[in-house]
Amino acid sequence: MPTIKLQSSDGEMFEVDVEIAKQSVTIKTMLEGKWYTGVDRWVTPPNVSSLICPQVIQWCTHHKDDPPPPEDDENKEKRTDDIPVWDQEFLKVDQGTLFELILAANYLDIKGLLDVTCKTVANMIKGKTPEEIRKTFNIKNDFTEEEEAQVKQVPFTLWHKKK
Amino acid sequence: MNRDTFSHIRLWCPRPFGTYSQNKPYSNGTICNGTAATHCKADDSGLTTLETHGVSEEQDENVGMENTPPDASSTLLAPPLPASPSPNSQMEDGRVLLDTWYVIKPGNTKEKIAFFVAHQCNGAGIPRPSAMKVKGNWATDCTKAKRRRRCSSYDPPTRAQNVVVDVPSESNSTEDGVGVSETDLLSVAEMVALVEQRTALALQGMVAQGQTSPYTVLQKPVVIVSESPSSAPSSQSDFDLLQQQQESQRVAQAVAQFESRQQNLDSTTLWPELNERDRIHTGDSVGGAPSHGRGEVRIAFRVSSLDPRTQSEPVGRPKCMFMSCGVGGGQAGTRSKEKITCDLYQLVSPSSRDPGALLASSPKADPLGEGITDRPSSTTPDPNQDPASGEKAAVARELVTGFHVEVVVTGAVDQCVFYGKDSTENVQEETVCFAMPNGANLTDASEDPPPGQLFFLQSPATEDESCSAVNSGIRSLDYANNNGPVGTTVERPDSPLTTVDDCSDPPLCCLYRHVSHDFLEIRFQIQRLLEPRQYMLSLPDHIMVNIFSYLPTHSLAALKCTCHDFKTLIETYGVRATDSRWNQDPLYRDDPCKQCKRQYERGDVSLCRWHPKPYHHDLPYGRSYWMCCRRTDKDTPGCRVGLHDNNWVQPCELVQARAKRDDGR
Repeated sequence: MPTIKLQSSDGEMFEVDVEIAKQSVTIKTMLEGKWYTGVDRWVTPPNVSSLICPQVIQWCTHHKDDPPPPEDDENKEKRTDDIPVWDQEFLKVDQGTLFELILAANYLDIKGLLDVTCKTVANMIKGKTPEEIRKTFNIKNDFTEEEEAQVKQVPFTLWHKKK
Repeated sequence: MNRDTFSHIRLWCPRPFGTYSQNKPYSNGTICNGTAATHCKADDSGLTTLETHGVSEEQDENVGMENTPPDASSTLLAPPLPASPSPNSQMEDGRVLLDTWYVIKPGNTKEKIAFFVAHQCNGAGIPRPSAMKVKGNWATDCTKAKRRRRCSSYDPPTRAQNVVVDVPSESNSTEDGVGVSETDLLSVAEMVALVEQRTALALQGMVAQGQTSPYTVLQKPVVIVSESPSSAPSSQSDFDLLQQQQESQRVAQAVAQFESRQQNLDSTTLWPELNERDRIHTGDSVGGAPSHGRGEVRIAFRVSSLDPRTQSEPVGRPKCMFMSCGVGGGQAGTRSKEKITCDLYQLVSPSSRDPGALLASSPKADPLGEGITDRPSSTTPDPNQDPASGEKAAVARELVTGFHVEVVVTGAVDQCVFYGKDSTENVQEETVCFAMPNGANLTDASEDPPPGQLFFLQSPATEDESCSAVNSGIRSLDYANNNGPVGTTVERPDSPLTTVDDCSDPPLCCLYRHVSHDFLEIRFQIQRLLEPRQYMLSLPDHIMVNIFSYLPTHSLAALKCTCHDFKTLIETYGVRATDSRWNQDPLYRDDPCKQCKRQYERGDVSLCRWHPKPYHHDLPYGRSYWMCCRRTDKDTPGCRVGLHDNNWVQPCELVQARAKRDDGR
């Protein structure tokens, strides 16, 4: 099967099948372009390190038989509880790796990977108070007391009790 | 073998297998040649021989004393000895006088043969005063006749005066030459004893006279090496002899070095008026400084290896400077009151390479200060330089704006005061004063500098209150000397040099004017790597919006209360929660919330609070209250919390479901 090389930002080369690599719309567009007609072809995605690139290849290899993702529908309700189990295990990584995967999926335009990673982050935010969110993502509270009072309309404890 | 072939030799044997205890102590001026006792085995001819010890050549020097027959005129007589097993032995004065024959062992002529040769007595049978044994040396061409003649002409009392010779380059292997330098080897102990005796005599004479140089009294150590080029050393015994000679030379050289060191040490104590200038050296390495005398304090200055300028320095440039003072007195614990002026700019200045520009002023009495003082002018050349070098100094100033200097202070020092003066800038003197580690003065020594402050000078806690009124460096010096603080400095208004207080490593801390830029940059990068990163804020906006679009109203409301960035993102891009009931249909977009009558705003993720029941307002004389929560104030927030809903018209599914329910009834 024809292969294509992916060169990470730190110079490492990874060889992958073309069909697997075409899950990335970016690579697919490059391959279909007129300047990638040579035998030896490689892509150098920036911001994709040698640690992230093999994981992206692994996810693409696992999902090579998946149907193409549907187009985004605004009316369709977005859910975060439909992440496959394999993806849940695959994304049990540290925040740095998770966000590196998001950036890699964003650049390579791999929608499936981008969706599951974003859903994973959303699940990390759900059910948390503002202070808990700050602690989880190392965010500094830059609100003044007056601003914070205005922003907080309903005490979240009351909201939780209501539910 | 005919019995009369060999002369009758009388052998002196104190005791078979004799020891030192039997020998009298020799005087210092008397040196005896080493003789060895060997076995002279009898041949098969049946001649009676004396079988003595076989001693290795290395023990010749020690054995020589042992086996040297005592002087007949000496009062110290050897104790009586047991009878020799030889039937021909005669007891004479406690010694065994043996009549024996010796036989040269057949075989290799170079084989060492040691034998005792007694001086032939005079015709009256009285042994000669200088009777002694002369050992034959295989390295030399010694025949029996030569040895006899040598013994006859040998005079032990005068031998000590004639042995002061250097290592002979040529062997004196002539028959008429005195065979002492050829064949006699001084024992190591004898040489050391001789040297020590002479040293003691020299010191005594020197102290008495007070001016005599010890070197005039001391002589070179005695080294007597015998060489015989006529006989080529080809056997092992010759090699051993050469080794022994070399060893003697090494010993003599070691003794000479010891004497020279001793002489230097004594000179520092006996000649305190040595000029201070003689003590200033300039070396290429820190390790090249010679040892200093008692009471001397040495200071070594070296440009720090962290400074990039050190790498660009020429090869032949001295990389460190040594200063010393405090030679006088010779009393331990006496603090030096001398001041040393040093131009540290010589270390890094590319233009001022003239070693003569090095300031090495004579020691001055410092009426104000105590301890060693130094003036490192780290930024400008010394003002005492020639005017012709002013241009060079100006060029150097442009190139060098500061450098790191490492200072090593050795010696008994209580306090060091460093002056930093920049005469060209016409600023006051900078003073860095610190005390040597002392149990009484050192405070807060166990406190480690805070992280990141290791290479920064610590400002003392008492600096402001103690030095606030001090403006000049001299005054600060007075203050430091009068009050004796641990470390007080004066800081220029715009000087990067900060003060130093209790520092675990005073020399390094004192002279660091500023840290390198590379260090700061690397430390910043490391801090950035170690601190927790804000990954969420580093994501692109569209990804952040994509993530927020998966969140319900409650989570969006919490995100909005987290930070300004999230609030701005939600409001700017109009992020809608997944459970939002705001109808985005263009026909109903502007419809208010049917619960709270609030209009939809872009990015509104607020919760709706409303009163499900109306407000009861009686007649003016009646009561008014909310019927749902019984609160009287009309402006009370709604008791029901929920999502905003501007769908005034029920969805079709709900209408159909209600219709079916009614039909079912």
